[in-house]
Amino acid sequence: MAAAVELTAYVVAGVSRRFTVEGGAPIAALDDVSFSVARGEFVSLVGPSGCGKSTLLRLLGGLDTPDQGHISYGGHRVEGPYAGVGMVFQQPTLLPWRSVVENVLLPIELMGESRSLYLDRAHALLDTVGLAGFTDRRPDELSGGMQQRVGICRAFIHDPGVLLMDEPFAALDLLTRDEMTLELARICQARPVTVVFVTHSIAEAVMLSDRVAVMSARPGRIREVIEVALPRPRGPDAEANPVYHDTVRRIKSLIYDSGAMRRNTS
Amino acid sequence: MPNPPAGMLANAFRDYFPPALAILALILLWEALARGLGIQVWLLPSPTAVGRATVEWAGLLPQHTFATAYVTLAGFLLSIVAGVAIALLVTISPFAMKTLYPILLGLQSLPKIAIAPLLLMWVGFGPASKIIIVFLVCFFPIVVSTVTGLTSPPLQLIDLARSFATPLWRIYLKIRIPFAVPYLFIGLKVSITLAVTGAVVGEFVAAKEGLGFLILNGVQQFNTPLAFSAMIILGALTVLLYGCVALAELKFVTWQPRSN
Repeated sequence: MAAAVELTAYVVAGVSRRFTVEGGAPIAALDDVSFSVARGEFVSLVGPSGCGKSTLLRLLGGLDTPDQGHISYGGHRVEGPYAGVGMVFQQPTLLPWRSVVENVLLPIELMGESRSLYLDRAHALLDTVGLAGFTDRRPDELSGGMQQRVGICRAFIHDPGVLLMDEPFAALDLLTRDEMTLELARICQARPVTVVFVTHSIAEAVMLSDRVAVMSARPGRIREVIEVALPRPRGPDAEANPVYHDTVRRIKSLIYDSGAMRRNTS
Repeated sequence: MPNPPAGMLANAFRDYFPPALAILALILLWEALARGLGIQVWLLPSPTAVGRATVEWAGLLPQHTFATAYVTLAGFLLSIVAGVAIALLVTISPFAMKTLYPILLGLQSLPKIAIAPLLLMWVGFGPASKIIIVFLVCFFPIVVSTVTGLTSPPLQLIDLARSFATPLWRIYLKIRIPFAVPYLFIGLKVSITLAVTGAVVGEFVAAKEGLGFLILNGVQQFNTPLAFSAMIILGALTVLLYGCVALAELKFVTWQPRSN
């Protein structure tokens, strides 16, 4: 049984989270959510707006606590922020007064460690995403896609065991988005990292994930967890695989037939 | 894009020549009208009369200029220290935000000039009453701009920092305070011009020295050229102080928040 614990990254057990709006009834953002993520696995959370995807991600990162149920990471109960987490958001959230490489090194400073030990690693990471020539530039000199690449390097700088990504490509144009999806697939292939990935894009989720958790809205629940049986490594040609289309269709039907969308728009 | 020196000179000429010409024309027109219409010097002195008064009182003007500059700077610096401290306090402590901030807002709605006579009664004729007025005038814009700046980093960036279990002081040091610096300077630029006004208001109410005192006395004793001279020095002082703040801004603010 000990081996099983080691192979598990996250166990989410019966987690509920409500938010009280002033003067209104409490809103259930998440209701009795249970699932698990294996070590090294790539799991996406997809669902309509307001299904609590981002809330769940914040709970996983220990930035918020559930009202009911509990979450454990690597066999330890999550009760607050813990070491070995990398986060990427929809906006790159870089520090505008810092150079690219200094932005990548920010987590090291925040953790109170010595920057010089990580300088080579920062340069190597920037090199892998094609930003070797931009290390001394300011974020505002970079395109949106390049800024998001810097954000990803920043998430990797301390060699995290898990990456929590909240719609990291949602603010990018479609072409850049496809490119970044492939790039992330390549990076995750090269490093043993567990990823929980929140997205609106079913295509993106299928392309990247081992499993896709389909959520319904208000209250946020996990409807079903779908295995993605696409072989790895996945390149641009993976989209031609019938498995890809079958999986996309299945997830779509789960989302659109669940009534979640209808309830959301009514 | 560094321009060649010749180009820079040409640019400077193109930028500064029209306003300089306009100001010169205005002074000449003023002189011509004052002489041509024979306006009494105590009513509206000509530029040359103001110049003569400045030379005549040259021994006295520096002392009064320094007095005004002193209370302006002292009040301004105090308001920076206190304003930034209060801004840090209310952003760190939600309790302070709920209790202190409404009181500050209430105090801000009192016209400072109305407080001036009271201050006189409480702390006397000396520079202290002027410093307090300058302080009160400058304080609020600095608090508001600093609070805005400290709360301007995106929530996700704070989440990111929290995910590393970063201590609060380090979140301030590395993220919130650097984010606040451009906002602080917006407040400082508003405050420094208010500061000079505050000092003059204080001197109007009661003072033994200062440019405001000179203006009031000049007018009361029909020495209008001297009042004009003091007024012009006051303008120059404001421009100088504003320039110092702008220079410091150039040095310390290396990025500008984008309006989104």
